[in-house]
Amino acid sequence: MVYMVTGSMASMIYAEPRMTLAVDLVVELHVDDTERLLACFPESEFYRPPLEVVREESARPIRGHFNLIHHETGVKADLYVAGTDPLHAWALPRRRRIEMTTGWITLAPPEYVILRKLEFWREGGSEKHLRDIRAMLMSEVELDLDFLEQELRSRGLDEAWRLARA
Amino acid sequence: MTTDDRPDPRQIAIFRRMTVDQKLELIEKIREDALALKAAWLRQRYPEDDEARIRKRLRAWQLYGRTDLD
Repeated sequence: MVYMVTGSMASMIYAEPRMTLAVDLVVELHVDDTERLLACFPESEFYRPPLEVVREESARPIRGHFNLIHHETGVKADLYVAGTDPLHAWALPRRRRIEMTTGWITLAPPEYVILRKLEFWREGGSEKHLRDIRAMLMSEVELDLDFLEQELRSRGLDEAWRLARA
Repeated sequence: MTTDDRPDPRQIAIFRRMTVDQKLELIEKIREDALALKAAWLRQRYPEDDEARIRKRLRAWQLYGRTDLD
């Protein structure tokens, strides 16, 4: 399954250490794959929405979302369905594979992480998003500034971007 | 990526049921996983670095939030 880790976990890898009990993932999930996905997360070990809910969310062209919670540890995974969102279409082919001794994960490109965090900050006002962005800007992560600026403009995020950089 | 900082109520219920030892164990596991992930990222980003230099970068990251050594 095509996926990428984003959110605070991604900003932590790109920038400074941060404790989080939630993992955000963008997944290419089609209705036909939902049963197979849920089978990987047995109800005895995870809170998971009913299959029908996951099917509905996976069918949404944009903003499809559901979560899984590990009963034993409380760690949560928020899954965002890629759908037809153009930013997902841009980011998924640019995800970065990180090889680990135990396997590998794929990470959202930093431009995607920044744009989503700015949007979430605008929606909810949580300062954690601006903190994470500032940490990313201070780190050694290289950004495609042309793409970023074009998206900031088209999404009306110029003011949020100015605040994040202040 | 939620819009606020609050944990999900189901997570809060789980944390309340956990013993102190379980919580400490969870924190340690999260710390270890974060270090393993960051180390893997650093190995890819600095392929010329040997393991000693990667450990130095990891230490700098934990202490100062930065990985440049110069």
